Amino acid sequence: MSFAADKLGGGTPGARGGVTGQDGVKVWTIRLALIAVFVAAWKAAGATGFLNPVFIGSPEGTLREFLRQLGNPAVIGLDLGYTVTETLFGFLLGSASGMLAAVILFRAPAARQAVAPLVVAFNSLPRIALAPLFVLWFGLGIAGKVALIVSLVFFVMLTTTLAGLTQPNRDYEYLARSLGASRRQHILYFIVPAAVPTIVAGLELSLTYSFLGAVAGEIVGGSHGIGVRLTAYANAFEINKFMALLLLLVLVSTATVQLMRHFTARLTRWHATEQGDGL
Amino acid sequence: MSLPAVVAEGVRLTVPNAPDILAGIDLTIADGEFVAIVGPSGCGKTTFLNMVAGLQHFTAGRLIVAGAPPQAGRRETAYALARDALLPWRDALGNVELALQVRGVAREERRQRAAEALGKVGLADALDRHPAQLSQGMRQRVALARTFVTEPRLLILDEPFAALDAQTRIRMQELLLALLRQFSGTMIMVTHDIAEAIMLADRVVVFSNRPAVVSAAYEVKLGSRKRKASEMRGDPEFSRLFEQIWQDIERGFAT
Ligand SMILES: Nc1ncnc2c1ncn2[C@@H]1O[C@H](COP(=O)(O)OP(=O)(O)OP(=O)(O)O)[C@@H](O)[C@H]1O
Ligand SMILES: [Mg+2]
Repeated sequence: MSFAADKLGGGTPGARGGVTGQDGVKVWTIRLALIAVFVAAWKAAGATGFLNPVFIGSPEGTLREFLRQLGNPAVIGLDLGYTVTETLFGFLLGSASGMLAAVILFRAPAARQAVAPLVVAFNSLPRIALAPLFVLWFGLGIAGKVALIVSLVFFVMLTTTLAGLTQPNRDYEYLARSLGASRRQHILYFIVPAAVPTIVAGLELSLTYSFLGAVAGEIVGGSHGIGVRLTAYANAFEINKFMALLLLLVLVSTATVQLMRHFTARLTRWHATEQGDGL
Repeated sequence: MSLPAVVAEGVRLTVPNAPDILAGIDLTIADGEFVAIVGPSGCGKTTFLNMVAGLQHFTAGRLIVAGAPPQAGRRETAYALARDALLPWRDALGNVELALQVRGVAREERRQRAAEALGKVGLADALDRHPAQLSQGMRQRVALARTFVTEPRLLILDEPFAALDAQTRIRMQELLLALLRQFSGTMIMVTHDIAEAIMLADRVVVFSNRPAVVSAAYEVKLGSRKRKASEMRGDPEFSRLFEQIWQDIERGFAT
């Protein structure tokens, strides 16, 4: 087994993750208050005529549409299903290939130097600009969106994984050598565990980018998906429906990110403790 | 007589575009001897230890460790780096185990030996704590346990008790003294604490300012290794040596 089984699962008694007790109550109070202020301002802006409700909708209208759409299989089943499928496929494919490429480049420093400027160049390209090309190549279905997501996520994971694996630490290097660690042991016991927090942060970023890529790809051109429906609503001035769908998207993507955090937390708990939460 | 543990003859380190670091270190350390190296900050003490441990090259001279050129990762050598270099993702037990793990010791055995070593440094109830949850003194004790757990013949310690408050430091010195009583190998230790050097070593070696040479060496004649730290501090010989070494370092160059 790899590093995951090595020691990270050992548990960290005394490590505090997130907020608890009194602090937790305070944090949630502030959170809810901010949401309440936002909703009130939104409502007031429309009611006083400061902003035109035709363009901004209303909180109660949005809530009504939100509840209604939950019973609509065309939204929940078809469109959300499309978007989530594209997101997950793109995320898995992009992050797996990005990490694999990073490991290969890590083992081949000459190749790493050779491709470094190309990676920078491609990374600075606004990938959304490729969306029309992907529509042309792959059509209006899922494949084009997956391609767009991969083009985003691959480079995020390539660069973060490589940064994690190559971060210099002379103490670890000296320790590994003085203990007589083989190259393989050095990588397994020192380099990979040290890289885990960086890689996990990259994965989290990638998941957010995957939702972005899916919806943006659908807006540029798609047969189904949240992005397609959002465009339709905006064009029809169905702002409450637009807002309701946006809310659904936010909830789903937040839940997905939280779910991933739940599974990666134990891998990075030592790092959170190191960052000043310890003792 | 058995082979000397370390023989250094004119060990030199020159670097481009900067003054030399080591001007030529001459030092022979007998098998089983405890040697403490003191000297001004930045004079090259750590650099010399790195060379003995086979981690760093030198540019001229001859260096022999246990009859062979220095080589990193020798089984009989244990090197405790200046900073404790504990792995933050491993708990105390895991950090001590690491030294045995790279040697391919089976899991059951290495866990048992690591727990034993941690027990000896008084950390039996902190096995599952991670470095961030340990005090500085506890971290240094974990590092000591990791150093001793492989049962080395040559022990290299670089400022093992730096960054500790005075009281903890004295307790740690007593602890090391106790560990050394059961240790029959050779020890080389770098320290900034002259009292510590006199207390723990058979011989104190003074490095000069950069570029470093061995500027003085003193046999510590304060009875056998069974000495107690607290008794030694009251000995007039202790004060005399302390004063002498202090002067040597102050001058930076004694010869
Ligand atoms: N290969 C090298 N190339 C260039 N400089 C080096 C090299 N090796 C060591 N040095 C330098 O040599 C100097 C001596 O460092 P060293 O850590 O050995 O001193 P030290 O006596 O241990 O100091 P301290 O007591 O503060 O720990 C430092 O300035 C270090 O940067
Ligand atoms: Mg040093």
